[in-house]
Amino acid sequence: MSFFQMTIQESEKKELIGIAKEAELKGISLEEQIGMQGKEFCDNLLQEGEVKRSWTEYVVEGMFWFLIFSLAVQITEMLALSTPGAMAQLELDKGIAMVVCAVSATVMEYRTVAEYSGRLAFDNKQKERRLWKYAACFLGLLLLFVLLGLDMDMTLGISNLAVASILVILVFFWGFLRKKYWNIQSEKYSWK
Amino acid sequence: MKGILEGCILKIIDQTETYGYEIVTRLWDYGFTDAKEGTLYPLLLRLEKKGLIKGTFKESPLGPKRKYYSLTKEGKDYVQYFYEAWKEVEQSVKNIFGEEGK
Repeated sequence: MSFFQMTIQESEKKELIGIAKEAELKGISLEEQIGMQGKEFCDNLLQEGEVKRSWTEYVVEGMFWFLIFSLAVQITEMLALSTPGAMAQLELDKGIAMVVCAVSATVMEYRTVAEYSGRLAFDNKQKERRLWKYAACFLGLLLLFVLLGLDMDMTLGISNLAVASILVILVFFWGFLRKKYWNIQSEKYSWK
Repeated sequence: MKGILEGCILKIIDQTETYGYEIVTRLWDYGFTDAKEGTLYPLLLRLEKKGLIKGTFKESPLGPKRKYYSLTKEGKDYVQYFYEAWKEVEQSVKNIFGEEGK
C-alpha cells in the first residue's frame, strides 16, 4: 500500500470516471453528458477545485521530512567524525545543519502536500516517485560529498551510533504514524 | 444566479441522498432547464469544500459508482438561512417591480 492514500482530487477523478462510464452506457459522448465543451468544464473545475489543505497535513509532512534530513546530517557527521583529520575538512555546525534541515523539510513538505492540489494531482504514483527521488538526491549528495572528500575510516563512536539509531527508529515510527494519518484521512473522505 | 442554484441544489440534496445526474434531472423538472451536469459538478465540489455536503461512493442506477451527496449539519442550517434570505429578496424585487398587492 502506498504511503499516500487518494487525495480529494483522486475522489473527484473517480467521480469523473463514473460520469464518463454513464455516458458510455447511455451511448452518448462525454461532452453531451456534461452539456458543454471539455475545456469549459475543465476550466470551471480548476477554478472550483482548488483545495485548501489543513495545517495538520503540513505539520505531519514537515516533521517527517525534518527527521529524514536530520538522519542524513547525522550519518554525514558520523562519517566525518570517524575519519582522522576529517573534522578539519568537514565541520558540521549543528545550528546551521538544523536550519538547512528545517528549510529542506519545509520545501519537501510544501511539495508533498501542496502539489496534491496542483496540476499533478491526478498522478499520485508519479508524484510519490518524484518526491522520493528528491530525498534520495539529498542523501546521495551528502554521502558523495563525504566519500569523495575524505579518506574513510568507518569506526563509529557509540554516542553517534546511538543518536543515529534513535533517528532511524524515529523516522520509521513517524513514517508509520504518517501512514496511519493518511489512512484516516482516506476513510474520512472516502478516497478509497 | 449561482447562489440561487446552490440553494436549490442543497434543498434537493436535503430531500434525499442523491448524485449529480439525478440532481440535474430534478432541476430540469423544477424548471431549471439550462442546468447541465458540467455546471453542476463544480458547484457540488465547491459545496463539499465548504463543508455543506458530504459525498460517499455508491453504485448509481446505471451501474457505475457515483458520488452520492447528503447534507451536513452546516448544510442543513444553510438551507434554512438561504430560504429566509430568498423570501426577503423576493419581497424586495416584488416591491421594486410594483407587484405587491396585484
